Amino acid sequence: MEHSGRRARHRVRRPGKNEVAVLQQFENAYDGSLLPTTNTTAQNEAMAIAGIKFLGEQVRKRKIDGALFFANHPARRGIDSPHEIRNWRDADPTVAVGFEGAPGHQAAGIPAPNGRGGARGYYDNNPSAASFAGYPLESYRTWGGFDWMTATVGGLWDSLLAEGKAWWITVNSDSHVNYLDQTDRGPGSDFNANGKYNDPVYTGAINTQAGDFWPGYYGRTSVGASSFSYKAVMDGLRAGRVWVDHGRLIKNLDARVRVTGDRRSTTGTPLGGVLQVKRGTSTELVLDIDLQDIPNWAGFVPVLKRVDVIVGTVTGAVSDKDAYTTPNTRVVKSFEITKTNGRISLSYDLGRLDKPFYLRVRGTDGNRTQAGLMGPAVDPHGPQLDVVGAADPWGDLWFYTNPVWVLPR
Amino acid sequence: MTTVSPPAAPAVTAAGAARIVGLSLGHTTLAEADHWIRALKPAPVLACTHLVTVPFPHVAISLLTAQPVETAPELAQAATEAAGGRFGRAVRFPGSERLTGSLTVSEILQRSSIGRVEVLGSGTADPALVVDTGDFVRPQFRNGELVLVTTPAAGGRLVPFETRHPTPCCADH
Repeated sequence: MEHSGRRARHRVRRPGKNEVAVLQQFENAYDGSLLPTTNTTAQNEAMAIAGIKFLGEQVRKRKIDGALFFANHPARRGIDSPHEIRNWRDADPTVAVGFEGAPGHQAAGIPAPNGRGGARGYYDNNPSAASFAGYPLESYRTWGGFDWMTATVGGLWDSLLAEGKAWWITVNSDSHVNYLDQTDRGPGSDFNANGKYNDPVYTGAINTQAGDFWPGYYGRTSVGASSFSYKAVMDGLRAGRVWVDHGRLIKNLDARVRVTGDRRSTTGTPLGGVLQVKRGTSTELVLDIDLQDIPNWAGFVPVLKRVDVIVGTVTGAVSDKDAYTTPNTRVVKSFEITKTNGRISLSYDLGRLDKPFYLRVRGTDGNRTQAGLMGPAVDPHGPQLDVVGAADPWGDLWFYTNPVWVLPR
Repeated sequence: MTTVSPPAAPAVTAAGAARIVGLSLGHTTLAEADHWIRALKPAPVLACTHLVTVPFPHVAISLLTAQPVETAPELAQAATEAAGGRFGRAVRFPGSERLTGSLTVSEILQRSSIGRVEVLGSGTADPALVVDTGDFVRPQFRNGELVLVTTPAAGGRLVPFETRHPTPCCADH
């Protein structure tokens, strides 16, 4: 994984004999920080598309087995327009498959003096020359630690899913300099000259000003993989068999959409999947959640308070590629959770199939909620706007799943 | 209506009178444009930045001033856009120099030509709430009114939505 200067993406490639060569070629040709500042928006966007197509080409030429592109912190500076995201996806949907649902840097809002006292996720930016002018100011801040594109029910992510096309969310520590780290980069470091920093050295102090957590310490991306191989994990990511959580809010989750009544353990459509049934067929969501039973890295066992089911109509391709809302997605059901240990099994009747639709699931510790930005009829108890300098990430935990589609045969 | 007018702007066109002009020096960041504006002598009554996309994405400027201004021909379109801009981000405005330190919403409204203070996602701010200005206040024109958007901050206070030092792209790699 690595970043290209002007905008951060993480690209995942499977280790192989050509990986380094492909990586070098990619970085040299498509690093955004090397583009002239006098480039037009169209020129910059074309470069990103070319980069995605390049990766797809390397896979087709069998130089590498696979490549995946996820956009990091997409709303942070407003520079990833809706049409640009759609164009990445359409350039090669086997490569460009999603973005971070929540940014890393989740320690950045820990209050002073224990922490940096900044903005959770480092989301403290404002519109700039490179920003898409259509984005509202709300998009530049985190909501329950999540990016506005994902946190807003009926928002940008939902507007992509409503097109009936795949687009997944992950989370990522974006770990560079870690909260409470007792080391610092080695003296005399010169990243530009050496391509790396010198080995860390003990400082004798603790770094309370750093905004990152160690990978896996706070944010987790859980992938349904058939084995622990790199390829299997990448296949699971590409298939969208992914859910994410903060603070180890839950221990495990198994979400499947089923033809109603078919509860066989070997059937059911998992996250990222598509269930095709004849119109009029009754389907249901069956959700098994193992509640957390061991402390997280902050030292407490999180308590799941509520699970929301979100459903949206698949309306097909948008006419305005800069659309970032969709009118038919909303929270259709909230389960208040009273059980505190063991497994909970929830089911929700999705009715007889008429129009194609998708669903996704969200859960929370319930500590910080407010009506969503599309109004309480869409999302009565959504995530709350994070408070600058007072955003203890451990006190505001959420999980999100990727979607499942139900389409008429 | 396509131009921005603060309350005291005279409509005369005689030479030497203050008028709204647009210009562009091709600044790539708001900070560069702010720096240029704040170095102007005499200080203009009103100076705004405008995010433009022609001929490439950059920051153009509009001023209420009697001074002459010039823009390179290749940036003329940006200057025109700035002159007609309705959503300028105000860097200098009446009372801007008095908005320092911690002030209540009510004090901000009294001391300056800011017509409204809002809390992001919540609407109009309670006049008694304290805003830690950080000596950096950049309200924006909306429908002819100067609006300052704030966000909640620690201790039940507010801070302006825009901060002086936002985290740069790909910080500290």
